Amino acid sequence: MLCVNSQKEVIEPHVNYKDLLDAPPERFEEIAREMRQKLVPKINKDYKVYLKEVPELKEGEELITYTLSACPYCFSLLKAVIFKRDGKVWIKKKCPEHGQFEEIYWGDYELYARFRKLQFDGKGVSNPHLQLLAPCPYNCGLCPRHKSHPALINIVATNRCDLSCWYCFFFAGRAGYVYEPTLNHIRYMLRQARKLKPYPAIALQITGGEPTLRDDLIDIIRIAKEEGYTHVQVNTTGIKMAFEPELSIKMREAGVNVIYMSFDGVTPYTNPKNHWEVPYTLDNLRKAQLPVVLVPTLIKGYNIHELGDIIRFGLKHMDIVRGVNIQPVSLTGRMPKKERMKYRITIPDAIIEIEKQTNGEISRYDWYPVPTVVPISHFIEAITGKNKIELTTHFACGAATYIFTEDDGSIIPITRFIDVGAFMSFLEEKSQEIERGRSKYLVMLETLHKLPKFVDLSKAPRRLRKGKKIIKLLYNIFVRHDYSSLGEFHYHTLFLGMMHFQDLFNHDVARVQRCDIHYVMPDGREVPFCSFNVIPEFYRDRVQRAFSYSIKDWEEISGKKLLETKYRRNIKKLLSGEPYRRHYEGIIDIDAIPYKDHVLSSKKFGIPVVEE
Amino acid sequence: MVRMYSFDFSLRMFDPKKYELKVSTTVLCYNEKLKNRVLKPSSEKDIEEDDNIVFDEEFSNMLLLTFADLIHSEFQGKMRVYDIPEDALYILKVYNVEVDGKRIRMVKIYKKLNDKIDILYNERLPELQNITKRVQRIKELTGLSENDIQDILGC
Repeated sequence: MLCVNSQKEVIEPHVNYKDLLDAPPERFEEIAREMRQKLVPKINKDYKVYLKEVPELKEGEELITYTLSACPYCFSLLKAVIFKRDGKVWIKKKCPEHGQFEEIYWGDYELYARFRKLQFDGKGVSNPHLQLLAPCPYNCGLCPRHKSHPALINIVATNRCDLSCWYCFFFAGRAGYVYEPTLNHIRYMLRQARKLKPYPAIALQITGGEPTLRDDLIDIIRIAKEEGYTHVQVNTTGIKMAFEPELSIKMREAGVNVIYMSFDGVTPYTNPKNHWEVPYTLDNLRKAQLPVVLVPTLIKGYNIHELGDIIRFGLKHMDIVRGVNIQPVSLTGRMPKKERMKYRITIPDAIIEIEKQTNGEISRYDWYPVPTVVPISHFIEAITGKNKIELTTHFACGAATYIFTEDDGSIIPITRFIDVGAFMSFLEEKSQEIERGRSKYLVMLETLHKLPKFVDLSKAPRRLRKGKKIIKLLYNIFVRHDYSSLGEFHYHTLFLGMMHFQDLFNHDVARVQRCDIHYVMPDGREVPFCSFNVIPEFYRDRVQRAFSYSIKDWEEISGKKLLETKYRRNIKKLLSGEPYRRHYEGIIDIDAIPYKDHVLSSKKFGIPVVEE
Repeated sequence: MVRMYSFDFSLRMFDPKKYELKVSTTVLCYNEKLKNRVLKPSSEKDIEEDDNIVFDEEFSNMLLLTFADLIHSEFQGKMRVYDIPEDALYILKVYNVEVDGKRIRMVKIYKKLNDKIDILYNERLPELQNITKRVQRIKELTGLSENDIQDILGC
């Protein structure tokens, strides 16, 4: 089964994947176990450990903490220092082989200090897939060090893509192989992620490449549901869905809960990936009643100026758009500091920019770190005695808020009428009282009595004010655990989130150990997002290559040509359709953008334009 | 000669969360007749960077504490080495843990067979069962008396 890949300078383990087309999940389990040992990163071969070297602080630099990190060039494990300078948070490390690296960690110390107060750690994993054999982050799989259970599992369905974005090195054409696990292999991987205790994964994201290129995507969704995943989302550009209305309907019927759709801006200049197709995709999602979250990747000097408009676009289409989840760019490859600073944006930078672009309607104080909601899990766990998912990521990894709109278009963030901080402290205190033996019923009575104190009805959206609806909703959710109330809560609400995935320049092991967005790999390991994608040489690329087909083999088996699936855009046709104008009207000056600019944006990005 | 390690340390962390922890470990050795004695370390040293994997083996699953947390903290501590006697059947590591002022006693049990030591019983702070269940489980696994186990667990 194992063979040597003679094409590579470094001999890597590889599976003859075309021999496994009909293999059952159990066979994949055997192979995965065998391959895992060969694929794990090896000390002194893949990385070194230099923990004696401690970076020094200079005058004007104030220590926050020390941490572990990796060298961006040789992946060696290093000691790093996180410190404050000029009101910002920085990280610095020194590799004996490649010198010192300094990077902005968080663009605003005040927000850093506020978010840090709301950190909660998780319960980890009691039955990790991997023994402790190497230091963190070279032992990912998950290992006993991991502090958070998975909140969202990613599975890469294919590395094929119908686009060839200039910055991507992952898709099949550029990688030189096709990674596309069989349905039985996928079933094995999904089972593997469900084995973890005390919280098996229940939420799944099917990703790629472009997952909608798989003809059997609907089967993958059905398998996920069969294996116990209650939440399934598909991460896509939405391009195929723009032209195939039945695809969204089939996905919805098979059990997809939400579409995660790339959306980098409101103009062709900032969003050459799918600017023209998005209106058609949204219409097809409406027909399928399949909600969508817009996912902008944020790059300084490129699309920051459109943050406010991206949110306004989400609000305009909130009948189908459930949220906007902003992802500050993660910088990969060797890049000098000057160039990194050109593109680098961090969560607080984006939050402050949104404050400016919404004229303070969404202020920096309306955002909270992800673990803020952990007391809700603790409280429900204490009341029901059942394990509840806890979002215990590192506070610096993500931020979120909810915004509501009034009929006049004004925005009301949830924090303006609910004292989120005080309410969470109250819930945490009550959970601890139950833990210490206080009667659950007394605690519930007290909660019921005190709930109104955390809500300022006079500032709530009008529809939530009537008959004290917001208080009744909170009571139903927290005391009665009636989650059908959540639907009412979400009506006319837009979730705003941010998730800053790391890169090797701002890499912090404390964040890796708390990550709750994982990938399940073909060898059965479950790896935190920021190991999988930040050190692809050891995780994503190494493992997927080991379970891949050659392009020639894939073309023989599938009867298709890899390049056949490449997308060619008919901009004229897309611009002339009614959905285009309807979706962007009021957000951009549609007629001010010349046709040649549309064409140039698409071509520059790598998507050819046709006029037939 | 089979060797084992233990750690005594204290730490104060401020980032990414406030956290104070003190841990001291007693190593007990039981022979086939279940007679016990407290083992004395054969050597002792400060905890150093090279101890990161051993430290994580000891505490990551049990206390969700990792060497990376030590790096994040003001900490001081010792690592001790024990030579396990030939006649040992069970080795019990008894941990006095003080987390943010709250005191808990936890235990890890190893079984020695020839030159090999396997973990027989391992407790996790986030999923610590009530004292009755813990005593019962340890009794089932080792045959120790309930009184002895209660003494070990400090109840």
